[in-house]
Amino acid sequence: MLANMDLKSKNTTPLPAARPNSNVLFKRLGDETVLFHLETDRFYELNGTAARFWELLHAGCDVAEIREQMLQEFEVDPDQFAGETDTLLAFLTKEDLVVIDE
Amino acid sequence: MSAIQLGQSGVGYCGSAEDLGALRAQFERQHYLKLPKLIEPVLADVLQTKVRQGEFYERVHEEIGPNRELCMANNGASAALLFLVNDKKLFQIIQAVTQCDQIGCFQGRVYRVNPGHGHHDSWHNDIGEHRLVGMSIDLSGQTYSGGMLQIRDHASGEIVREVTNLGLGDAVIFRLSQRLQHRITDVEGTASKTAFAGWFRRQPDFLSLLRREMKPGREAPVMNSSSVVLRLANNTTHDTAY
Repeated sequence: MLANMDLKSKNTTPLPAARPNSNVLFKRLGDETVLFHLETDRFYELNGTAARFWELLHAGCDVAEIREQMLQEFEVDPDQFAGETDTLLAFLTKEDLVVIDE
Repeated sequence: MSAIQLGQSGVGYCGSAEDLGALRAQFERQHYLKLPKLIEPVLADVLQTKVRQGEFYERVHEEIGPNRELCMANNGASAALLFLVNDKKLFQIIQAVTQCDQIGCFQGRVYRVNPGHGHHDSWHNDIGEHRLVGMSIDLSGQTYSGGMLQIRDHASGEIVREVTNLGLGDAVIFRLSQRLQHRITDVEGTASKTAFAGWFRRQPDFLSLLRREMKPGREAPVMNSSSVVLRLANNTTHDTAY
């Protein structure tokens, strides 16, 4: 049972506060979300899980809240999921799709 | 915020069902509808800057009278505009207002008309190729003279409507019909007219259009995923027929 896991208590490293870059247009297309970066002119296609991550990020959730919410929605190992969200966030940051508030 | 506005995350609509009914009645009566600030102003500024950096080439359409204009080569600005207006919620609003068939996509191009350069449009109706409704969004960012949308009754030749659309990000949608023809009047004075114009079409659907216009780039293997980066196919010519 994955619901209601307190992920915040499992992570000792503070999670970064991230938000979508205002220069990124995005929209849901079926199960996917497509992003367009206005400065780099690049399109990105996020699959269903990553799309949900983006949606929650846009809604103003921090990374801990997103993990908690998504662990209730998807049946996935919490440790594996934490690793995947880290990888996704690193990718989004590297591509300047999200802004990290220091 | 105006009633319908395109922004970072898609369409915002703050009107009621009654408001939509009023817009429908207006379109029915006038054959066109103005949508002020359809593109959110800050975003419209960004897009206008990108358009200014674009390359334009002269384009002649002998089938339309002829029609002569400058057309912007496919680039990030055109991709952004297409991405912005191809929105399911916008399609639903346009369908509700114009009573047209189900929209699959919007396809268009950025064009520029310079006064004194022989740029000219002739009467035509744009019917065919699954086109349902026309739309033009102003990207000029300056006041120009002329460049007015005229709509006439095909049979009688009587001009039934004349529409100016001068505000950056403002849009006008107009009816396509065998009984009507339209044209843009010559631009006069010194200022150019620049607009993003095209049609809501029955097909293809936007995702197919996007995949056709873009080519896959590198993979980003995140979240067990199929997340991929799609790059603009910069070396392809975006040649929208109209």
